Amino acid sequence: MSRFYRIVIWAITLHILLLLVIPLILWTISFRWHFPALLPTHYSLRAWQAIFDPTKQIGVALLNSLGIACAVTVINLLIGLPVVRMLQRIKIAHRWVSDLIVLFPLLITPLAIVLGLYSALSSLNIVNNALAIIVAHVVASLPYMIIILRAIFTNFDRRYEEVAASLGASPFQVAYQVTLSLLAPAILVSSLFVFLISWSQYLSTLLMGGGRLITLPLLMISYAAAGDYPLMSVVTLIQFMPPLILLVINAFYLSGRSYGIERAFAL
Amino acid sequence: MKPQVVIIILLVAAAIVIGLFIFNLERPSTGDPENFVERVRQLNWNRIERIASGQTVYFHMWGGSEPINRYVNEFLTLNMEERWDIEVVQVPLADTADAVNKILADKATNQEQGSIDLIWINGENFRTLRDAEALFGPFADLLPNRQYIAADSPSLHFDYGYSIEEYESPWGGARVVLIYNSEKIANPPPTMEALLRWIEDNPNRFTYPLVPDFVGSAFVRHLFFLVSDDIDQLLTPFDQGRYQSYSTEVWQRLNSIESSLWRSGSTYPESQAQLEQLFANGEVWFDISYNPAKAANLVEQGIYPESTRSYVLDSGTIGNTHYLAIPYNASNKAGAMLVANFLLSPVAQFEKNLPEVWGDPTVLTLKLLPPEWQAAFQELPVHPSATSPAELAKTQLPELGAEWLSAIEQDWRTEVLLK
Amino acid sequence: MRVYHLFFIPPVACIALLFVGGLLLLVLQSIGIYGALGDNSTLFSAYRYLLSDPTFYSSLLFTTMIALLSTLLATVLGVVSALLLRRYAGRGSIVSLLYQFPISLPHLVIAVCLLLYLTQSGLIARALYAFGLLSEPYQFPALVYDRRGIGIVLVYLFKEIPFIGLIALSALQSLSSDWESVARSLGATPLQTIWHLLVPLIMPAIVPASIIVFAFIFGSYEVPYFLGSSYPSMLSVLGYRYFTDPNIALRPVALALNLIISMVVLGLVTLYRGVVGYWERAR
Repeated sequence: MSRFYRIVIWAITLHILLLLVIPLILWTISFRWHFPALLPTHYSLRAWQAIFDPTKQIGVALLNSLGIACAVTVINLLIGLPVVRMLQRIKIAHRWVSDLIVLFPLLITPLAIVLGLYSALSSLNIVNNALAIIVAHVVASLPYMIIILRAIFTNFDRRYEEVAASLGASPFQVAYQVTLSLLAPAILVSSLFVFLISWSQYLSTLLMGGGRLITLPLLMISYAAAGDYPLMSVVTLIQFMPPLILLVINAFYLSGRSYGIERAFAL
Repeated sequence: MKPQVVIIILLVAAAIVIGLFIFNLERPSTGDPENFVERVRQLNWNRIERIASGQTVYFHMWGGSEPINRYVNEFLTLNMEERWDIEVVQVPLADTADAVNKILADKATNQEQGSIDLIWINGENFRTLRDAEALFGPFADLLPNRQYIAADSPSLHFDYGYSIEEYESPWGGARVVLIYNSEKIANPPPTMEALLRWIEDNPNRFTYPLVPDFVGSAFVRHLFFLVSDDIDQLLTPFDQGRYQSYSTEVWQRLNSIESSLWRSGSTYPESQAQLEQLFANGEVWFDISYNPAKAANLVEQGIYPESTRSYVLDSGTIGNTHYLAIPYNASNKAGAMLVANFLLSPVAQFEKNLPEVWGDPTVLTLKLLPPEWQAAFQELPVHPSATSPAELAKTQLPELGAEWLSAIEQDWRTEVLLK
Repeated sequence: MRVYHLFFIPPVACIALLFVGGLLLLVLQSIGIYGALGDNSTLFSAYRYLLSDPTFYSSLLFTTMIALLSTLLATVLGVVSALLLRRYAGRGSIVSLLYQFPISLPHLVIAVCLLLYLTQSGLIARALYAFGLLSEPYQFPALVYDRRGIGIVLVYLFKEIPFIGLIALSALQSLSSDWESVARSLGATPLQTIWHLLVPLIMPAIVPASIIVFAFIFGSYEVPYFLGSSYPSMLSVLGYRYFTDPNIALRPVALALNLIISMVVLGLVTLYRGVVGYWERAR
């Protein structure tokens, strides 16, 4: 009986994912696919060739999306790590300060802050470029970085560092072999999370970039609006890649443990 | 692998990606020199060409059509790059009003460094920008290829009844056509009156895009021509009383067909592109377009069925001209002028007119062209799904004035959509 | 104060600049103290405009309905699926990994995937046609670009069920299985065990997660922009429309609207924390 259920659950989960992906793949190779055909009536590789076609901007959009997401992740780490270490030092009695810093930005809708910043940045003439987009993405992702890091950091005992130092390790050795080694999963999990937030941004990119910098979500929506389903599907499939990589890392490297992300969202 | 090593590898990978990303960002444009706006009318064309060289022109345009995008991203971009070292970056818009709003907001907040260098525009959007003094000009008469348009051509003087005064340069012609599938409809309704009857006889098979989409509002405007006995009355300067004498009847007729529209008129397609999708999928049986060759393009891409045909109503359809304009705060005005000029050249106009490229009618006056180009234009092939020259020769109705349009767009929302 | 502490200044300053600064700008502009405005604007005119605008109220109602419905469904289905997964699949098993996968997919990607199914000529309609259940696309109900927002809710469910499920699952796993055996030995049926024992035990983890989901959906923009109908629109879409309107006097209105969205969310969380605090003190 339980074996039966196990198979049912497997089938449902797997099918939901396959059902998401299979129509996308079919659309990418379709040429004519009108109602009521269940399968494309004519096939073409136009959409896949478009990836390598410089006039279609898919390659550029991919590089822009990746570059922005990487930059956003690095900036998040540079801001998030010191802040979280600082939060750890706050006395229990003053926990509300840390709660405020952590929760408040999470609960203000990112669009609100982005709109607020937009007017200021545009009067300083620093909109319509990559930097403005990155700032907006950092605004949308930093609260998550901090909340996840903080939840995972609670497991980190600073005494390991002190012990290592007292045993004669140099500051570099302490940082690399103790601190980084213990915090690696936390850094990895939060970085991937933040990367994905930037990866999925649409509106803030459009607003801050003034349309000058095209990213994959922008391209996807513009193909959707133009009714070009084959190209839309190709761009959508490309966007599956980082989540898939995350899945693999999660399965093999973090062995499926979520390292307390769920605890991060306890209010 | 040690966890630290994984992190360091990922950081290095991130650094490489960021590096590539920065390297690939558009080269910084050389921009216009100081006082370009004040001096431009004294400069000769060679001087403007030298200034423009090395500039990056951000061309904001409605991006809902694949063939048009391809024409801009392939033909235009390559030519500008090779001939004048100008980089053209197309910024596709879902709605031109987005860019218009951006320019207006810039104007209101005194932004001097705008993000838009060239904008594809006409009618109401042009009037809005002109009224706000948010356009650069007069510049259109400075373009050398203007020699190929007859000085008395109406396309040079009035856009939807609004005086142009060289603040925009013509790019192409447009004509409203109806697109249908000849396998589903053997004899399409020949007049507006017949079309309305057809809609009522065939519920759920017709719709038009949400006004203010320009195709949606074009459909509504055709009803104004239908209810008025005297077209000239519609072309006079705007008068609320006269407008209402027609609009009341138009709203009444639109509301009477609403229950026969797609989804019983409870919602409308958001855009022309969405109407295209509905037609491609067979959800509706008519598509409306301003581009006489659009159907041919979509058939070639496999999006529309091969039995698709286009035609013009016997009672006439609206035609107009579309233009290129340069915002007051464009950072690369010289480059934008060169692009507008190149797009007026016989070679660019011919390429654009080819049915497999775009099929957009030329704005040039054929008899002013060199003989070989005249011959080329006359021998243009016709695609079976595109509108034939015989159809295009039927009555062309003029565009209503921009004030009429604003009134129609505003009232349509309250009188039709929300009722 | 050690020199070491100086390293904390730049990151903290960044946060202050981005969030406190951004919010301050938002507040000032929405009130009308700072920023370019129309000529006849007075302080708080944006709020007055908003509160006298019937579209605002219909959007508020629509947004609340969508967010409530999505949150309730996601919570119920998330908890149910977590219970099933716990029973029939191990922690870290491939099934539970696959189950969590949609969490990491962008909302718009899911929206596009569902779009291919849900339009009136989409795959579901085609399948129904193949079975002879309909002959024309318009006979299929409008599930996207519709006035009821069904497509929007479906996309959120796809993402938020696994999110709630993940949190429920880890809350369940932290429980000792002794509880269940005791309940069973006292004669409770499996359903009774779940309803009277497991569900109350994981509630403290589920409620905050649901609030997060509600808050997110309440303020989110992209899915309703992509799949919503022209009317009614969600508050965030309305706000963006105001912000990009050529009439820049509407910009403060857009900012005021966004501030209201944030305040609703903040108020909700404060209320929740207050209730929980009161509860704990009472015990």
